[in-house]
Amino acid sequence: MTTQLYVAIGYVLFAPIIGGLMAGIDRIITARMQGRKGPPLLQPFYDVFKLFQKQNILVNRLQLPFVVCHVIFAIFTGFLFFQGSDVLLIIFVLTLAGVFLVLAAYSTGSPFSAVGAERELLLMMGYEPMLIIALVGMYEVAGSFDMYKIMNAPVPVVLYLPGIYLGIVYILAIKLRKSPFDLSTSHHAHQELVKGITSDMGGATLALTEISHWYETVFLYGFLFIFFGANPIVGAVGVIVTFLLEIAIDNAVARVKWEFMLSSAWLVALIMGAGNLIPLFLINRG
Amino acid sequence: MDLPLLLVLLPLVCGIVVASIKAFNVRKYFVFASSLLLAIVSIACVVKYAKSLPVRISYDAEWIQPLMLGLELFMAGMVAFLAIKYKKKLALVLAFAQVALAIFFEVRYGESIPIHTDIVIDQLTIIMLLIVGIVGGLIGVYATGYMKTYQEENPDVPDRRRYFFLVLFVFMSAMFGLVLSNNILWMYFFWEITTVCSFLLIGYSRTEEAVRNSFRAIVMNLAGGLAYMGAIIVLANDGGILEFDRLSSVPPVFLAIPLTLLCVAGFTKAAQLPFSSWLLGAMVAPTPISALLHSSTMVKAGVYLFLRIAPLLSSSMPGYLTAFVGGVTFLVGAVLAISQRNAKRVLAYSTISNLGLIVACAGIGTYQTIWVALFLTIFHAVAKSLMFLSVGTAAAGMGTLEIEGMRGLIIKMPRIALMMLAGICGMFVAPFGMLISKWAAMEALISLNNMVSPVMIILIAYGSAATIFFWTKWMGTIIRERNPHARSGLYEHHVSGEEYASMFILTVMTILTCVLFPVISSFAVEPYLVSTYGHAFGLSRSNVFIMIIMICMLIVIPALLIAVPWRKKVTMGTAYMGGRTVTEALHFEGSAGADKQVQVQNYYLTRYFDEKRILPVGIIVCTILLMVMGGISLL
Repeated sequence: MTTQLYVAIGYVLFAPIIGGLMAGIDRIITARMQGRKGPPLLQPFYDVFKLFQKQNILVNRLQLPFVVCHVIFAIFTGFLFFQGSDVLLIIFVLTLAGVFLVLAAYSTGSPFSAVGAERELLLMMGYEPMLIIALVGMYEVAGSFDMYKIMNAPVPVVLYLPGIYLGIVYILAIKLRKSPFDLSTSHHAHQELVKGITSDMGGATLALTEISHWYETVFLYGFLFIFFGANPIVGAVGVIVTFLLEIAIDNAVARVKWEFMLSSAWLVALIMGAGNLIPLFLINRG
Repeated sequence: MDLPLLLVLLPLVCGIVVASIKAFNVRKYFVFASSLLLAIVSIACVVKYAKSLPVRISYDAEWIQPLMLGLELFMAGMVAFLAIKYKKKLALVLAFAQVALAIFFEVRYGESIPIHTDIVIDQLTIIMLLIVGIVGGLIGVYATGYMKTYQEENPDVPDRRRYFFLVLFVFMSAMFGLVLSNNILWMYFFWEITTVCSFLLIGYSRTEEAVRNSFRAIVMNLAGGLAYMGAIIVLANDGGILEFDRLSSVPPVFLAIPLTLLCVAGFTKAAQLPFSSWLLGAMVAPTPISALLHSSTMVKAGVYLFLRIAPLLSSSMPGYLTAFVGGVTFLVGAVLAISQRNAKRVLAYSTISNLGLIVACAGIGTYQTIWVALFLTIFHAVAKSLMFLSVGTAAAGMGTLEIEGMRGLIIKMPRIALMMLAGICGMFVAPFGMLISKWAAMEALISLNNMVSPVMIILIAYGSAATIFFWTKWMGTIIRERNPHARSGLYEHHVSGEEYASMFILTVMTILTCVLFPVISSFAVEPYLVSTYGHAFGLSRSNVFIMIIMICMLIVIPALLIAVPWRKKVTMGTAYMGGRTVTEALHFEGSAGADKQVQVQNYYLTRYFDEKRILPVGIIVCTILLMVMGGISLL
């Protein structure tokens, strides 16, 4: 119990550093894939520090409170996860964090933010079923919603949940704001909708969304990690391969329309998720 | 004092008194007093019986049964009269069929079946009594203020407010009677009254649409009533038992048909697919009526029936099929709510969806899912009535029922907007009630050892994803304002004190039921489960702890952050408009110098979640499920 609490506190303290470094590595690899040299590893941190130094211009009174709530609940999500709380409950906290960001964008009244907010909602609607199905699958294998129990299951759960794992990799691209699903906002400069959900954010407000994105990245890869069981090397390899895969997909494919995103995410959840879950139930209980 | 009898009779007296007063200003206070009185009596009932549950009461009076039959005939006559007046053949036929069956039953079995207990008061009854008494009363209070504005704004609708309040109180009386009844015949009697009351209330405005929709409602509900009567006759014939608490002693062979028929009756009243359309049609009625139908009465009667028979449904074929109907309804309702532009229709589909989840839980019928179903019922009653009332007031202020018309409500009607936001949070945000229940439903389903649960989980997973979309969209519309510096509260002046008071109490209740749900669980829900199933079910303490922390965070943090005077420290700018010069309230210079204002609308995804395409699919799927149910019960 106490070690779990230390891990969780460690997450709150160090996740931004790890997440920022991951973003830095992401940018370097992306640059190399595009034949560029790329920025220094610490560039994401420089960016965020710079943002904090800029003047913070707000559009209304609600925007900043909502973004702060978004950050707090994003941190809380990871804290609960690493502390070993019920993962199913955590997914709802994650959703709540997302809702706050969407509300912050809605509150501005700007058409760019509005489209970003609606698209973010579409993305949330897209990935939610797969996430829930994945958790239920994990419970079915490990008999618990505690991430430590899932991790320490006799066999890595990924062996029972190959379809669900692939489904999660699919929706991870949505959650990480990667192409082809960077509909609501992205780190690339080629957005035709300005910066989507973050269009009307600047200075410290924007920096906060960046930091919360780092927190979420660490949480999501942590979630991926428990698929591979207790062996840290296997887990690390699994996470790194997935990480590289997401970057490769990000650079190799063009952005899709939301229609494709939503229908494909739901189909993936149905085929890879339910198609994995129902046989699992059949075998376990039949 | 015979409290159950008082609970049934008092609303009737209140209704007659209120209806007999002509002067609005005097009548208003009588409505307040009646509502308060009913709330007090229902709480008194709880206090009196809380220690000695379940309480069994029987009445030996021989006049009750003939009186009920007489009143049933009277109601059928009333329906028949209106059906002839408006030339609705089907309603006429159904009314006559029902009377014929009721008389047949009375002649054939009338006195031959002994009834041991007419009324059973257990924790389930107590919960329902409180919902009806408190929420129903608050809606009554709200209606005094709202209906005044309604009549002023709709001068062509005849002022029948006295009739309105009479029917409202009769409705409450019938609901009290319904939830108290252990005698299946009694429940049938009250069941029919709720059908007729809803029919009368839906047709309140007497416009062509209202009449048409009220007849649709009564046709479906009379059909449900016929199924109920069929169940009674089969039970009387095969089992000779007409009491809910003794149904479990009927051999299962004889139970299949009556259970299926009762489920059909429940489906109609709880607006499950394929019978959901009457609830959508009921939206033509003034808002307090919708609130009443959706939260504390009518649909809750259907849900209550399912909860009563849930132990019998558990791991039976009708039970599983009921669960599937509920699950499909949950998903279809949630998905269709996305494409609705009218706020009341969004609420209607969300109700249908939520009821689907309750019905699904009741159909599975194990102690874990009943825990969930009971909490869903409580949370839904409170949060949904709050939603309807705040939508009614907001629509009156903004002049439209469209969701788009509520843009900037947070500035125009800040207090109403805050209460509406609380209601929306209550419907889907963690850790508010509905979400706790949905989450608990999944936890309960996973731990069950049957093949229904993975399918149900998948239905819930998709349904909740859709739920997030339409609620967040709505929240976003309320807080979206082109001109954040506009004067606040401009549209709020006409809102009456009664409306504020009832909405405020419901807001507090939405939050309190959530904070206090462990208390409700340990005092009411768990004892009920222990007495019915011999098992208790509750959430683990650590999860409850997290939820309570979260709800505090959710209320305190935004409140603190908004209260802090950020404006002094930061610069306020205008929203980004692609580099255009933007003036006050997002006006910008368009081509050729025309002054334009930004118009932003929400996504409704009508191409994908089209009512015309998806609803028929849901209806067909659920009709097939019903037919399978019928087929299996006959085998």
